[in-house]
Amino acid sequence: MTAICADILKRDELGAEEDLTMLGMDSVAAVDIVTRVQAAFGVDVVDVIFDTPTVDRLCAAVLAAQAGDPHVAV
Amino acid sequence: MSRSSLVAQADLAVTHNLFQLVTAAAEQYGQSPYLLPAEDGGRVVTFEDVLDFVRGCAAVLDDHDVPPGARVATVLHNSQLAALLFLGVTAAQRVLVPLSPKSGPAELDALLGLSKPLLVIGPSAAVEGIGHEVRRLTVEDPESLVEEILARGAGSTVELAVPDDGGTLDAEIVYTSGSTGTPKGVVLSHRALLANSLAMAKWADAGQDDVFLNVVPVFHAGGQGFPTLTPLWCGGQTVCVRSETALARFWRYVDRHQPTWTLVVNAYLASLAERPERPESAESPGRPSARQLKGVLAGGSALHPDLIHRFEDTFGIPVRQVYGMTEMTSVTTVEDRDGSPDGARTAGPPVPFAKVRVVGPDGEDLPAGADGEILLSGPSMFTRYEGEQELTDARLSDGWVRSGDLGHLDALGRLSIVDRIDSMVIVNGENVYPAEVENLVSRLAGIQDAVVVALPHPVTGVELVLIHTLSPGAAADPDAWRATLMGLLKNAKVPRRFVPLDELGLQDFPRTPLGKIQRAEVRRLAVEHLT
Repeated sequence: MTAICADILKRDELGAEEDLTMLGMDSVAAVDIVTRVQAAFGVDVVDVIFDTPTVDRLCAAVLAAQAGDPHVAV
Repeated sequence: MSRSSLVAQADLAVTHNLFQLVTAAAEQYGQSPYLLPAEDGGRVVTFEDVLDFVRGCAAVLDDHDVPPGARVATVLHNSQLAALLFLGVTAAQRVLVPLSPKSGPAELDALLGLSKPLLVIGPSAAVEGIGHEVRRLTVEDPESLVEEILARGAGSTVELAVPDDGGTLDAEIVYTSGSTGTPKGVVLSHRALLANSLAMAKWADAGQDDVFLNVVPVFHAGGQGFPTLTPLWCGGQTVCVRSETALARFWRYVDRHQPTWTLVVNAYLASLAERPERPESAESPGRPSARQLKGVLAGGSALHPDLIHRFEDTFGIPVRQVYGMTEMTSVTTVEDRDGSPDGARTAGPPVPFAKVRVVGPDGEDLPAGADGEILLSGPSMFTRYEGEQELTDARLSDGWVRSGDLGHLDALGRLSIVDRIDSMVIVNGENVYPAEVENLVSRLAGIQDAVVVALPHPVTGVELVLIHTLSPGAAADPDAWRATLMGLLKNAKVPRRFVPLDELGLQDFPRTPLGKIQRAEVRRLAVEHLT
């Protein structure tokens, strides 16, 4: 997850709790991240990326979706 | 019950208030669906529900001591609630101040200070940072608030008093940042909103089988007219989705709701064109949709013909360029619905009721093809900038809105936009717009991309320089380029120097994520390397 976000935001590293919008994520970059995450993990993180855009929250959404909890990720 | 359309019999002298439109739509279209849930499981809001919602809003606003004529701010991303509150507040004869949830607390405070609403409605994340002294209605759960207001309205028979004013009543104040960065509150009347949305219903020949996918924020005029009010006129359906979400899920929403129309900003179109693999949907695997998009309306900035063609060729969906501004309640010109008869791509002729002129510096109308300032008029004109009489006077000229945009009309009355007036530079006393020159680059053999910049010059004050990249295998031929441009432009507008991009230390033009050349960055490097 960190690698995907860092790659799209063109950064060498980024913290798991850093707000991605503060690192320059615009809506187009967000869509790129959503597309890559969908391809890598098979989970749609659209709602998370616009409301709580951190690597930690994205990971939590993916794990919850994979565990079958429909309330965290759509 | 009659199912004929309100559009054919519409008379803006009769329907001059949004409450009248909501009432007429409830009578005409009854329990037909109007506002669909974006995702599964939500409520389908009918035309009768909308009338209930308006009455419910009136009751809830009475509870909060917000009388008719007072102002109500909303801070909401697109949702069913956002669309319904736009209708509910305005049709309940209060004045809406729709604000962007992307505004920070300081900006919200400033806008609330300017607009002075009695009540702010928004989720806690949006309203809790507000320092401005104002009552709040915090939205914890948007869906249950919709249900609550509907329930209040269903039990109410309150008749809202509609003034007999021809529609001049303020419906809302829409804040735009404008090119100067200072927020301006554009006041739009009931009549302006009704005229604009009726014009678009006529343009689209819209009917009950039309479905509008609304991805433009409802806090902009663009998200209110065509995508939200036009279906009230024609009995069609609408889906109100948050822009960012819809950018990621665009094709999923298209497959699910099978919209016939949508309106997007050009950057959105570019982003979709850059992801040409339209995903196979689980909702309609391998089978064609019952309904097709009749068109994607796109506007908001200059739209390159290459991008239009790329989108149309990739997805087989027509693009219709639009041009407008908040001061005209958004869309004011649009390409013909069935496409351009001669293949020319323009921003189209004016929509029904609207008028467009192009004038020179002396205010006289210019002939077809000549560039000048675009003036706009019609019943969708704004009323005033809130609290800014001088700004209002400067924007208006004898009943016309001065757009600040440069363009021309062709012989068929279709508008083309060239540039913003304020990007103009003056060379040897001649007004020059860099885009005017850049638009001719396709006629210069061997040039792939080019940017024209104005650099300081000791003699002429400024000097035009064309910075270019070459097509593969091509050679630079400045003399031929200059000769070509001399035949097309006034002497002063022809660049004095033609400079390959690598003289700026670059191999490729710096571009935005949407592929637009970053002209400001090119200009900065040009000043650094060439002066």
